[in-house]
Formats: sequence, structure tokens, C-alpha cells
Amino acid sequence: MKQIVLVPRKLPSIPIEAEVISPEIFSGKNIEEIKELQVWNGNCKRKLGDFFSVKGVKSEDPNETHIVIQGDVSRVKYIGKEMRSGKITINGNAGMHLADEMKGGEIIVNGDAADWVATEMRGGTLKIKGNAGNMLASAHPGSERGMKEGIIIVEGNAASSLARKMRRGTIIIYGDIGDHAGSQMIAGTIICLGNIGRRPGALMKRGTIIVYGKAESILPTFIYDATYQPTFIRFYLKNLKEKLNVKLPAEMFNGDYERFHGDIAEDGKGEILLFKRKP
Amino acid sequence: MQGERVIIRNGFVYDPINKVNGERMNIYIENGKISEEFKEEGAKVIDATGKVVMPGGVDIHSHIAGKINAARLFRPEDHKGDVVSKTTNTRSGVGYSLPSTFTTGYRYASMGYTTVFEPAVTPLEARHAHEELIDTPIIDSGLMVCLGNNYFTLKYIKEGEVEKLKGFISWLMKAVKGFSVKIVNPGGQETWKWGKNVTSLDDKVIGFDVTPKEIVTNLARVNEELGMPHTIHIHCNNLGSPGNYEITIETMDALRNIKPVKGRKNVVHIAHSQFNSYGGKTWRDFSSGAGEVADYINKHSHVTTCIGQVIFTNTTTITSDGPWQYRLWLLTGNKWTGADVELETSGGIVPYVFRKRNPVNAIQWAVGLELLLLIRDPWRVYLTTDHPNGGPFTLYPQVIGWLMSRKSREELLKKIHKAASTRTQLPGIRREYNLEEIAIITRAGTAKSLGLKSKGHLGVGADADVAIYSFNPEKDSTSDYEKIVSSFSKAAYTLKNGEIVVKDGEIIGSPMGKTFWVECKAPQEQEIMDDLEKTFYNYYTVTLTNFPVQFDYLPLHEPLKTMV
Repeated sequence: MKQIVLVPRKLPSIPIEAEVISPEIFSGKNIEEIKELQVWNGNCKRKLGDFFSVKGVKSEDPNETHIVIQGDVSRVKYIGKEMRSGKITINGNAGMHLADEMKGGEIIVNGDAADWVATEMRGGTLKIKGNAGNMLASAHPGSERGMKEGIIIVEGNAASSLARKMRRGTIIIYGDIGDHAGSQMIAGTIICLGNIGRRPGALMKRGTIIVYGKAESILPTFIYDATYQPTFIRFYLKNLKEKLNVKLPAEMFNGDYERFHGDIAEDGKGEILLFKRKP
Repeated sequence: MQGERVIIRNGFVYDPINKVNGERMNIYIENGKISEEFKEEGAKVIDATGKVVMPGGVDIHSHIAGKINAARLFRPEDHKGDVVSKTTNTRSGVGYSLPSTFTTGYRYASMGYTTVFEPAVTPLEARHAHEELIDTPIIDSGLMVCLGNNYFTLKYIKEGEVEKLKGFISWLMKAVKGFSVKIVNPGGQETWKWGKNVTSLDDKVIGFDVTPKEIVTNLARVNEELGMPHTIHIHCNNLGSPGNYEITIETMDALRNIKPVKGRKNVVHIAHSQFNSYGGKTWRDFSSGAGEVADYINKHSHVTTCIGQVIFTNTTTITSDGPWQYRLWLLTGNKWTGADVELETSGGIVPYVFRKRNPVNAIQWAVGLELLLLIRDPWRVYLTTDHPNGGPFTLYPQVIGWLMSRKSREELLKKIHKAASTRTQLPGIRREYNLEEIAIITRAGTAKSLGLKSKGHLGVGADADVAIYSFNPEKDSTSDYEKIVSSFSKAAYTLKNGEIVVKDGEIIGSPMGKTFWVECKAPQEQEIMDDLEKTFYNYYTVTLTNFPVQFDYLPLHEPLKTMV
């Protein structure tokens, strides 16, 4: 892959909206053209080159384009918006609306990510090595559906309202998840290796939430079914481990799970699987 | 515009009211009106060679003001996919099935429409609806006022005080600057206040002891005696339900003996009859009842109808028919909002997607086209989608394409659920509309039905609202669906009062439209003032003096005289 390296200069206190930082837009442009790309700083039109130094090799194919951001861009919004292919690596913290409606390709954040990341994601892979903010993989306000496809792996914690109105896809959080995870979820899978906050799966129709740690509370609209060893979990986790290199505790594969179905205020076809530790 | 002279030269003119059918001729415009021939010097000339020239479109039934605003707030997802940036001539806006006010005006004008009537405004909402019309540029408009479940209507019918009802309607039209009487699910909304609905014309309305039949016949009689320019406009009972074609025919038949006002033959307009022409008994054996409804309309001259054609798209249903919207919510599980407007009406909003593979939706699509094709007299059937209930108005050109091209209908029939082929008559209908008939169902007929003398034709003295489409009837095949859709979607020119507002589908000018309202003068008005005052004081949230809409809300308006 051909690398284009962006190094942020001193960024202004007003956030920058830089949806142009995307492999499709960078490919086929030389360094000077990339510097000329328009970004918004508040209500002012500015150039990408005003805020970043740009180096690297021109790439013709977006699939072969790898954008590397060296430094903190927590006040840069909309990086990788609607990207379809290629790769973005952020060596620092990422700002709001990263990977907004992302359709393909890969984004790696070696740091924390802010709120509203991967909103209505439609495909591709997002890996966050640090913590993720609120509304990760959620629906835009008023939208009918949230995340529709793709894989999100967060190695730290995720804050509140994770995967609101999620329709399809897989989310794996190594750490803890805040309140309201998977609310109004339509389908999809959330795996939480830490603890999960209050009211997970509120108003969910279908979908699966697997929790390895503790659940702070389960809503009364979730009905306890059984404690069992779901066969599908073994295959599912094996797949994740082999294909995506997800680090999973060995006891998860053959452990007991308490199954709750709900939310019976909605369709009631969703499930929460709570891992049951051996005494 | 004042003093300006325009000549539209050498177009194929379709002006059915003046019996001009595709003749090549010039149209002369002076001071915003169509005028007699004058010399070319100093006049602006529009070359319409090889193009179709029609009067500006007149839409009889399209929800563009009033409760649509609640729907706009209710459906942010509808706006997200359709964002319009500002240009030097236009303002920004949003909305696919629920365009914002400015976008509504621009989109209608770019399709060659210049007059659009809002068909369901509750009297209390009229002030707000007028405010929205102020912000809806280019198009002229008018408000139809929901009266089928109004407290006073029901009360006076119960007491047998038809003269007082006449006084009430006369007063109300002046007070809210309304255009005509709209009846939505007669009796049903009042019954909905008790969580129930009426399902036949002889059911009793709870609390009033009147029947839907009494409501429609009394209102029709009063409407004709007052001499309103437009007939009563009915959204029938049981809308959207299987087997409802029977009640539609019963409603029309109940009004057969009403004496029309001098100067017209019809006494009732059935709104969006597609939604009221279903056969079958349940959703399983749902079928078309369009044949029966069309047959009745063909045999009886007292009815006009608009269709409410369904188009396969993601749209929003908005009606004052509260109980139906609640049922639709139960059927779809989509989000729903309902409203109860004091003593006047109810309402509801549910988003809806018409799907090709859904048997009911496929039949609904076919029913609309069946009605348009089986009703033989184009002067009594009009093209609408009941915007946005059947689909957004921006898709009218598709309907025109299906009507003109049998081939395009058959191609779509193959792609949709087979129920549309097996449970309707559509596959066997050979009729294709010609351009003259299209001009009738989209402008001339509607203008005539609304009683607008200055619209829908290009005779001397008419408003200079003209639409020019890039369609050459000598060269282009009338069954070329793509060509029809592209030419009718983007007018080559639209003129509003002689001013060029659209060129090649783009807005280049956006003057303000005017509002039509009807100035009734019934002497019975004085009799009811005490009664009104008392009821307003006791039961309304506004007082009688604060109720009427002031002229400040109608910067440009034209009061129409009654026909008596």
C-alpha cells in the first residue's frame, strides 16, 4: 500500500470538519492537490494544507491508499466519512463522527475515539485500541436504522448508547460498556468482555448481546429462559478468534450462559447471554 | 408582470377548455394575462417550436400546508436523504415525501404546475396553513376546510337546522379564508373520540345521533345552495379497507338527487378514490373494486374524482382520518402520531413504504391506473397521488408515463407481485391517454371542477400560467415512457402570470403565489352568532374574536364569488 502521511500542525480550538480525509478522495491526487482540498473550520472554508503537513506517495487506486495521521486529531471531525476502500491509521486520538456511514475498507485508531463514531456504518472494519465515546455505531438522530454491516473492535471501554438501532454487524468491546447498549436494536451481535451498564437491549427487537462480565441490571421486560451452553457461541467465537484475531478468554468457549429474551415490550426476539462463572 | 409582453411562438398548444388540440399557434401575454394578438416589437419571445404548450398545471388534492408540518417534524429521516442547497434564485430546503415549503413551490413549478389546492385544513389550523402558503412560492393555492366532523355541523344536522348550517359554513369560509367544504370519514372522527369508528353510512355518530349519510347529504345540499365554486370534497368512510368500494358507491348514490347549483352538473368530488375502491373481504382475498366504481362514475354525471395513485416508494401517510391512521399503525408497526383537534377533527401520521413485492401494494398500484383508464370521461377524473399519501407529487410524470404507454405498464406489471395481474383488470386494458387527455386530467378538468375561471386554459383573459414541455408530438412516440417522464419532470419553461419562473427545469424567478378563498354571503350568518359565541366561550381554546384569520395572513389573495 502507498502511504500518505498527515501530520497535524497546531489545530484551532474550533473543530475542523474534514470528510475529505478518505482514500477515495486522496487517490489519484498528488500531494499539492491533497493540500488544496477544502475543509470547514467553523463557518470558514479552509484548506487541508492549512492544518496538516502532507507527505507521501501518490496512489491511483483507492484500495492501495493508506492514510496515516501522526498525532492527535480529536478536534477533527468526519474523518473517513462514507469511505469504501483503502485504509486509514490514526496514531493518536480520533475526533467525532469518525467513519460516519463507512461502507468498506479499514480504520485503525491507536488511541481513543470521541462520540458518534461509525454512525450508521455499512461495512468495513474499525479497530480502536483505546476507549470509544458515546453513541458508537448508532443511528443518526431520527434515522430508522443504525449500523447495517461491518465489524467494530474496541480494545478499551465504550461509553453509553452503543449500537442504537443496530441492524446487522458485529461489535466486540474488550472493556466495559456504559448504559443503554443496543437500545432499539433490530438485529446484530454485541460482545462485551467486561461489564455492561444499565438497561442493555432496551426495546430491542432481535439481535444478541453476549456479556462475559457482569450486567449492572437487566430490564424487567427481559425473561429468563435457561442456563445452557449455546453451540453457536463456540463456532462464532472460534471464527472471531481465527479470522479477526480477537483475544477471547478460553473459558468463554465452553462456559454456561444465562439466556434472557426480550424486549417483550417490542418483538421479544432479542437475547442477552450472560456468562455464568463457576463458583 | 405589469406592462411586460410575452409571445410564446409556434408551440403545439393543448388547451382543452378552448378546444385547441395540438395546433401550432402563438400565445400572447400582456400584463400577466393571456391577450389578443399583438405586434412583436418590444415583446419577449419564447420559441416553443417542437414543444408542447399547456396551461399551468392545477392540482386539486395535495397536502402542502397545515398538518404536513407535524409530519415534517415527525420524519427527519425523510429529509436526510433529500437535501437541497440554495442557489442564487432559490432557498435551501429538504424533504422527499415532505418537502419544506419553499422546495414544494419550486418542485411544483419545475413540473409546470402553478396552482395547488391543500385539501384538508381544520379551521383552527387555518391561520398556520396560510402562514405556510406565504412561504410556498410561485404556486397559487386555496384551502379546503374539514367540516365533516365539526361540532356545529353535527349539531345543526341533529337539530335539523339546515339554514343555520348554511350560515355557519358561510361564516366559516370568510373567517378562515377557506375555499371549499372537505369531508373526511364523515362521522368517523367524532366517533373516534370514543375509540370507535363508523363502518356504514347508516351507523350512528356517538353523541349526535346522526348518520354519515345525513352528514354528506346535508353538506352537499348546503354547498350547492350556497353556490360554492367547488363541490363537496369527500374522503369516504372505510378508507384503505378491503371491500370498501361498496361504501364509496353508496356515498355517491346517496348524493345522486342533490340539485347542483346552476352552471355545473356535478355535486360531489370523491377524493383519492383509489384508496376507496378495494374488493375482497380480508387482506388475504384483497382485490380491485375499481371496475364497479368506474362503472358507477361512467353512468352518473354528478361525480368527479381524483385518484391518489400509489407509487412504489418510501412515503408518509397523513390524513385527518384518525381511526384509519391508527389501524395503519397496527398493520405496519411503523411510528405513529395522532391528534384530536378540539371540536373539529382528528388526524394521524404513519410513514409507509409501498413495495412491489407486496400483493396489497401491487393491487393498490393497479387500482389507481384502472380507475384512470376505465373512467371514460377525462373531465371527471384527475391525476393525483394524494401527495404524500400515495407518493410524492414529484413522481406525477411516472403516472403520466404509465397512462400514455401501455408497454410501460405491462413491463412494470411483470416486475411486481402477480396479484396485480390476477386480481385486477389492468392487464386487459388497452387504452392509452393522448396529450389532450393528459392536459384535461392535470389542468383543464381540475380547474373546471374547482370552479376557477382564470386557470386551466389559455383563452383571452386567463391568468398567463403556462407550461412548456420538450415533447414533440410529431416526432416523439407517445408510448416512449422515458421521454414522457423526463419531459414532464422538468418543464422547458413555466410562466406564472406572464413571468418566466422556470427554464429547462431550473427555477429562475420565484414570485409569490396568491390564495383563493370564497366570499359567501348567506343571510343566516347573523342567526348563529350568539350560538357560536357561547360555544367558543365554553369549549374552544380561543375566543370567537381571536378565531378568524386576518388579511395580514393573505398578502396576495383573490376572493371568489359564489355562483348564486
